[in-house]
Order: sequence, then C-alpha cells, then structure tokens
Amino acid sequence: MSVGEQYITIALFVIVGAIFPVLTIFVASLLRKPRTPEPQKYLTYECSVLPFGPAWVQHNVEYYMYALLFVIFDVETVFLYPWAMTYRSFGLFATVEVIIFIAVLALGLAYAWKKGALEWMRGWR
Amino acid sequence: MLEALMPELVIAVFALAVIFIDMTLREDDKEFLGYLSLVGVGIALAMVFSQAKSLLAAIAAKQALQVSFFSGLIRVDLFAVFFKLVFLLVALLVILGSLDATRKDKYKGEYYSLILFATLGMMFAAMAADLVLLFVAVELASISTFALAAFRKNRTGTEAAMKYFVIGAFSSGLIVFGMSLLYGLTGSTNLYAIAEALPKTAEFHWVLILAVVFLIAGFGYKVAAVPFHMWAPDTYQGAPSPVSAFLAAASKKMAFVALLRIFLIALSMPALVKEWALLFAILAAITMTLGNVVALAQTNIKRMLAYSSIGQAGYVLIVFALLASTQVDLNLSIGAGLLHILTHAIMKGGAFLAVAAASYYMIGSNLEDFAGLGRRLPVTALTMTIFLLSLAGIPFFAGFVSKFMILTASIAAGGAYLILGILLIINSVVSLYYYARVIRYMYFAEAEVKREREPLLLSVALVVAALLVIYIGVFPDSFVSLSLNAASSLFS
Amino acid sequence: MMDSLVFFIISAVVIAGAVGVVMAERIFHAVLALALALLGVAAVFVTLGAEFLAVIQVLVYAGGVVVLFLFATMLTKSDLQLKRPPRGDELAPVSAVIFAIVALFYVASSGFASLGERASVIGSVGSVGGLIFNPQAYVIPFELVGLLLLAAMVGAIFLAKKEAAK
Repeated sequence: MSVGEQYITIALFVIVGAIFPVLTIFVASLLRKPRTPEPQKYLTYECSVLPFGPAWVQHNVEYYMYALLFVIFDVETVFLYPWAMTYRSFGLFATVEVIIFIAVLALGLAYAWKKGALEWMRGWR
Repeated sequence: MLEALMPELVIAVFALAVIFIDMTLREDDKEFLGYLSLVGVGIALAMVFSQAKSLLAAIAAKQALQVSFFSGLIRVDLFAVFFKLVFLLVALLVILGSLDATRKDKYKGEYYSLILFATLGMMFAAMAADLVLLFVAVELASISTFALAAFRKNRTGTEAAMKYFVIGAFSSGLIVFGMSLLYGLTGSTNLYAIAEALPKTAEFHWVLILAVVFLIAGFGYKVAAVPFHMWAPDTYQGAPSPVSAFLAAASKKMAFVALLRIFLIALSMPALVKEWALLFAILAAITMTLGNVVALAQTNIKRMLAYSSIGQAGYVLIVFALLASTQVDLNLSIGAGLLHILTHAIMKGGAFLAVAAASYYMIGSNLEDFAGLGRRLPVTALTMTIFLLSLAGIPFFAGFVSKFMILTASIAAGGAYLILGILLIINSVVSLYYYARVIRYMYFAEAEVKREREPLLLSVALVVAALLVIYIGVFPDSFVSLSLNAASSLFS
Repeated sequence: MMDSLVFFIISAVVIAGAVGVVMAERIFHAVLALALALLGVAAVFVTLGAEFLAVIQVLVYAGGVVVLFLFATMLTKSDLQLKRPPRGDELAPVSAVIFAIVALFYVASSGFASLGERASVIGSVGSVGGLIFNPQAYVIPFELVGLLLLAAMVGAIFLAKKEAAK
C-alpha cells in the first residue's frame, strides 16, 4: 500500500476545508446586492457603546504558566501513546518504567501547584 | 547492571528529594537542601571512586576493561568514570561554595535540584555510547544550566542567561542536525556501530563532511571555541559566580567528553581523521591565541577568567589535532587532553569560587575591587593566587603538568604540529601577564581594608581545590597514569 | 509520481509558511504562519510513513509550542509591529539562499543508507514503543527525558515567577 493512501480522506478534508470559506465568501459577495458601503458597517459592534482603544491588551503571566505546563504534560502524553501500544509485549517492565516516568512528572505537577503556578490571579485577591 | 549505575541513581533520587522536601520547608530552613545535595554528591563521588579503583585493578590484571549494557547504549569504562569523577568533584565544590555564596538568595530548592540534574546529565553524557542518549543527556545538563545562569534574576544575570540559552539552543540544533546526518548515512545511532558502518576508504560522501562540520560547530559553541565563543564572556560575567564555576568547570567539560566520544569512536577512520584534525588544528590555534590575547584587555576578573577559559579550551583542542599524527601515541595525546580537562576543571572552578567568596562581602569583580584582598580575605586571596599560577602553568602546580603533557605530545608528533606546541608556550607566557596582574592587585595595590572573617564552607571548598591543585602538581604520577589508562579504555 | 506530486504540494505549503514567518509584519501573523509550516512538516512526516512523528508534530509543535508562542506574544505590552530589518542584515537572506542550495545538493546526491524501505517500520507508534519500552534498549534515555521535562518545568516556573510576584 502506498504510504499516503490511508490519508486521502484527511487530504480531501484539508482541501475542502481550505476551499470552503473562500467559496462561501465569494458566493455571499455575489448575493450581497446592492453594495452600499458605510463607515458604521466597519465597527466591531454595530450597537451599544462605541469600542475604544486597541484590541491588544497585555495579558497576565499566569496564562503563560498554564501554557508552559500544558506543553510539558503534552510531551508526557505523547510518550504514553507508544506505551499503550506495546505494553502487552513488555508487560510489567514497561509498566514500571512508565510509572516512574509519570511519578517524576507528578512531582513536577505538585511542585507547580505548591509554588502557585496553578493559582489564578493570586496577586488580585 | 544496576550496581554500575548506582551513582546516577543516587544523584537522581537526591535531585527529586530536594524538589520534594523543598515543598515542605519554610524559607528559613531551606539551607538544609544544600547540605542534602552535598551528601548526595558525596555518596555518588565515593561510589564512582570505588568504580575507578576496581576498573584500575581490572586493567592491572588485564581483565575486561568496561561494562556496557542496554545493547551497548551505556558504556562504563575508565574514560567515563574519569569524567564522572571530574563532574562530581566540581559539583561537590560548587555546592559547598554555594552554601555560603547563595545564603541570602531565595529559591534554594530550585538551585540545588538544578545543579544535581545538570550533574546527572553530564554523568550520562560521559557514559553514552549512543547518539540518542548522548543528546538527551547533554540537553538535560544544558537546560538545567540555562535556568541556573538566570538564578539571580537581575538585569545582567537575565541577559547572560538569555544569551546562553539562545546560543545553547541553537548549538543543540546544529548538534542534532549533525547526528541525524550520521544516522542517515549509517542507519545506526550507536557510536561503535557507526564506526563500522562508515566506509573505510579515503573517499567519503561529502554529506559525512557536512555532518562533521555540524558537530564541530555545535559542540564548538558548547566548549566556547573561537569563533563560537561570543556568548561565554557575557554569560560567565553575568551569572552568579558559583554558577560560572559550574559552567566553566563542568558544563564545558561535558562538551569535550561528547566530542571525544563521537570523534574518536564514530568518526575514527584514519582517512577521515585527517580531515577533521585539520579543522581542529585551526580551531585550536585561533581559540588559544584569541582567548589569551583578548583576556589581556579585560578589567573585569570574571570576564578575564572567561577569556582564559576560552584559551584553555584551545589547549585541549590541540589534542584533537594531534590525533592525525602517526608519530605520537594515541593514548598520550588523549591522556594529555583528559588530564588538562581535570586540572582546568579544578583550577578554573576554584578561581570562580574565589570570586564568589569576594562577592560575599559585596566586593565587585573588577580588578580594582580586588585591591588589598590579600589582607582583607587572606585565604581567598592565597587560594586565588594558587589557581591563577596553576592556570598560567607554573611548575609544581597542576596546570603545569597537564600543559607539559600536551606539549610533550605535540613535540612527539613533530612537523607542523610543533607550531601548535610553540603557540601553546607563547600563549602561556602571554597569559602569565594577566594572571599576575590580578595577584599584583591582591597583594601590592594600595587599599584601605581591614581583615574580615571569611565564609567557612566557601573557604573549605577553596582550600580543598587548592590542595588538589598542589597535590597534582607535586605528585602527578598517579594522575598521569589514570588519564592514560582512561584514554586507552576508550578503545578496548 | 503521485507521491512526489503530494510532496511538492506539501513542501510548497511549508515553504510558504516559513517565508510568512520571516516576512510577516505583525508578530501574531508570524506565529500563525509558523503553525502552518509546522503542520506542513507533519504532513511531510506522514508521507514518509513516520506516523508517530507526525502525531508528535501536530500535538506538541502545532498544538503546544504555537500556543506557547501565542501566549508569549500576548504578554508583550502592545501589538508589536516588526520594523524592516536593520541595515547589515542583508546577509541573512543571502545565507538562507546559500543554505537552501547546499540542502538541495545534499538531497540530490543523497548517500543515505536506504532508510526509505525501513522508514514505515521505524516510524510507527508500535515500533517506537518497542524501542522505548524494550528492557534492552532506550529505557534510560526515556527516563532521562522525564527528568529533563521536570528540570525544564522547575527552571521555567522559577524564572517566570518573578513577574507573577510583581
């Protein structure tokens, strides 16, 4: 079997996904008549208070802590996947191995917890 | 199998224990963690020492010289044990010094656990006979030291760590690229298997040369060889002094162990050696010359030590160049490099710790700040003098023995290699000038100072290092034979 | 034929993403272009039969690392408008082109041990597991990776904490 054959559905999905928004916007522009441009239409919200200031605000570092922990545990999860595929053939040894691996990272989680990396808006309370 | 890995297990368990206990302690009690890590490193050091003894006994009895397991992934030979001794010794001295030097700092748990993790990474790098393990171990050590360099979190420290991190990550990328090319060419990650799979003829695929260049450049950054050295002075100056000691004395040596293993085992076909030995010869010549010449102009002692460290790395690189010569015994040249790595680790680590002792009293690291240090902190100044004289290569100090050994090897090689030997002598003379300048400031500069009580543990670390430097300098025989045996164990 | 066509399309996407990273004027757009390039690399892995790598690429890089980049940009004070590169940086595109040519040559003259056949065996999840969890193979590097992640976590949290305390 050629390498890519299983992935034809995914490739099709990607292609359709890429074409679909372009196509719908194009079709909508055909249907959207008559064309009456007006500055009001370019506002983010057409009713209520006028928006002010830039949309860019500086975020709190706590978000970053979450992202950081997420990436680390993401990598951990990746390693559990091959374990799940092979633990039948290596049995207890592989299980002990993976338990040590998880325990080490669980210590990391405990550390992050204790140091307040998981606390939300600590400075605000 | 497990006995051979006990020292690593001890370090790993103590590192995890430090993190765990750190969570249960109040801020004032965290000094305990330093003592705990000291105990862990001490136990591991004792274990590695007995490993070295039994390996030496085995060599004397002409028995098996190494143990390897996990299908040749890990190799515990005398070469690995030699480097583990260096790393653990440096870690011991640095932790001992840090107990005083970081007494006023927060985040002690993080500090000591990261030092232990870095040491663990270095120990595995010393034993790795497989590119995958080597890379993971080098990364473990690098990532831990990135955070250590920023330990003080002040402006200069953060800048230092940032430079170190960016360059370190970049060089890791180069290394892994070179490794992947080797794997692509041979289909194996085991160093000994790679050596067998590579063609023995003089014709190489030029992809192999590309791999060699990537590996030299990547590890060149890690050992701070010119032209890959730009980060080192800034990082060593900005990082806390005990961390600088750790970086210069241990982290850099880990890059050497990786270089030695990869180039001497995996890339050791005679025709290929000719190619890379020339590269190393050029690197060695410019590294030692530039390091020493630029060090002349430095007024900051940590920066000067960093440049001297670059110069000293150049001396070790001579050894790689000598490997192409058929005139000189392979073990002599490698052994010379190993001994210089050991002596440089002790004396450079000691010198940075002396700066740490000075900064304990808020003494800066500029040359003028050291004026009158001989009366203010006599132990620190005396040990610093010993380290500096040893770095310059004065007889009866450790640095002389190892430099002399490198010189002997390059003279034995003869021919064009003599140039490297002559450069070594010239550079030693040049270096004497800037080392002596520090000594002159410490003892002969006018300054209004009064004697102060020196920090006890830091002084102990300094005295131990200084005694080692003198001991190796006066009784070099056992160390020379140890390094020669370690060199020969690489190939058996 | 079909395979190389697919490869060229995917490569075009990856290169477009990479160029986008360099050329984008807003750092946010650069990160999004990076995500495109990383996903394209995942697709390259799939065509090579390295499915596990492709999964890692999507999960860790396109998923995790890009999120980290986005959060890092969100930490900045304002929407960074990248200026045109300062003078003297003309070297960068030149070196990039040289590197691309070298890489092309290197692919064209590839003397690699024929991994192509074995790649589909090496790259599957099961065979990776067979290496990591085999008592005779990469046990130690695997556990070291665990310690590496822990060290990275400890270092990162302790470095990022100062900002939180302010």
